[in-house]
Amino acid sequence: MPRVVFHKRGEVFADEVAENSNLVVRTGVRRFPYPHLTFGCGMGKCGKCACRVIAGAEHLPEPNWKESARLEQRIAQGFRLMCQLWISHDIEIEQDDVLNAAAVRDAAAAAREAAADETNRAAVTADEVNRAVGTTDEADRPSVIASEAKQSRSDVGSTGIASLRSQ
Amino acid sequence: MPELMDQASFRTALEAAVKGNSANKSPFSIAWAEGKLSRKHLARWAENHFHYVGPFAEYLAYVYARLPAHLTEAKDFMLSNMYEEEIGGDRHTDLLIRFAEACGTTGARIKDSDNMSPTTRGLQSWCYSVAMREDPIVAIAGLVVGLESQVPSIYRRQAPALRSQYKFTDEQVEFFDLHIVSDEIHGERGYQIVLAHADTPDLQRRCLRICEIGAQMRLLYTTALYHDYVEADLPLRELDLAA
Repeated sequence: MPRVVFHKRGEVFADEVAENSNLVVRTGVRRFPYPHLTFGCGMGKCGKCACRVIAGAEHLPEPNWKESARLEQRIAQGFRLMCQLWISHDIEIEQDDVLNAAAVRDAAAAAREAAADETNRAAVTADEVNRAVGTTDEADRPSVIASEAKQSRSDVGSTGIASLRSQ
Repeated sequence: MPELMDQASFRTALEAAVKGNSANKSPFSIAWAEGKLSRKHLARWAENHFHYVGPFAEYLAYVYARLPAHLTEAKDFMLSNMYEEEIGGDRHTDLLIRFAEACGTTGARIKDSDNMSPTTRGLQSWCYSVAMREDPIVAIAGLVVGLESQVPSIYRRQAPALRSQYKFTDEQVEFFDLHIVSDEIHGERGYQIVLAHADTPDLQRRCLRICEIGAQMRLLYTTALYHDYVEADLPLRELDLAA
């Protein structure tokens, strides 16, 4: 059975887990490393379960698309999302909630910035179309473009809410 | 007079009640895992599945409201389950719609309740009925142990085929990946709550029976999908199943 060594806030917790165990699932059902491992959505989006792998990384599969999107350059520093990993070999990991929260905030800020850029692009596109068709009244604008711009605005809102939640 | 089972025996009996009627046995599930469905078939599945899982938080909300206040841990589990379905990360039904659109249908078609089969309507109604009328612990046995706990085993069989045989992208099949983790947690916590709180022989008997019925309902739903949408294109004999 794989042995998991888990470092957090200067303490070390260790136990054996069944072959092919997911540590977020185990924590969710109140087994080791419960209550020490922090996790959130369980779907590779929030990043709260990120851990730095100290030993055993060679036995893990390559980061999947969610880990790549969420962790970005942190992957090179050895970070992985525990919700995306099924453990079959000994592993030693470390979790830092403060560091994870900061990374989540940074990612949320980047997402807000990207969404704002998208809104601006949609607005510019709408203005270009309006000039081309010779109308300036929003009510007269082509409905598709107007709805695209509205959608982009709503995306900004939802991203903001998601980031607040994840904090 | 039946006696109270110890927790290990009760758990074994619950698992047997679910496994005996696993939806993995339905021709639809078999065809799916073997890569024999078309995207059109999968689109019809998504249009139906939305109306079964879409209100899952609503089902749980009725149970949550009726759970006695002193069962704090069970109530918190229900609340957390609802939160995760809806707003914990991506809304689960949004991911289902993403998959459905990749199959060639539309969000409008999925949300239109006229596009579900009568059997799906029956499953949805059964879920509401259990949530509103049964003892809350029995309802958790039916909805969480009988239905939700089956999901990881179903999707573990189906998700690989979606990538390898149906050629969907990782992003398109995220709905299935996430349930392998989230419903593993939900199903197991459901077991823990039922084991802890079904503390009379009668409650245990009712939990076992409703698990069996829940699994039967899901099997019925999945089998009906085959008959309603697939059978004309893919007869049972092509699945090595007796007609």
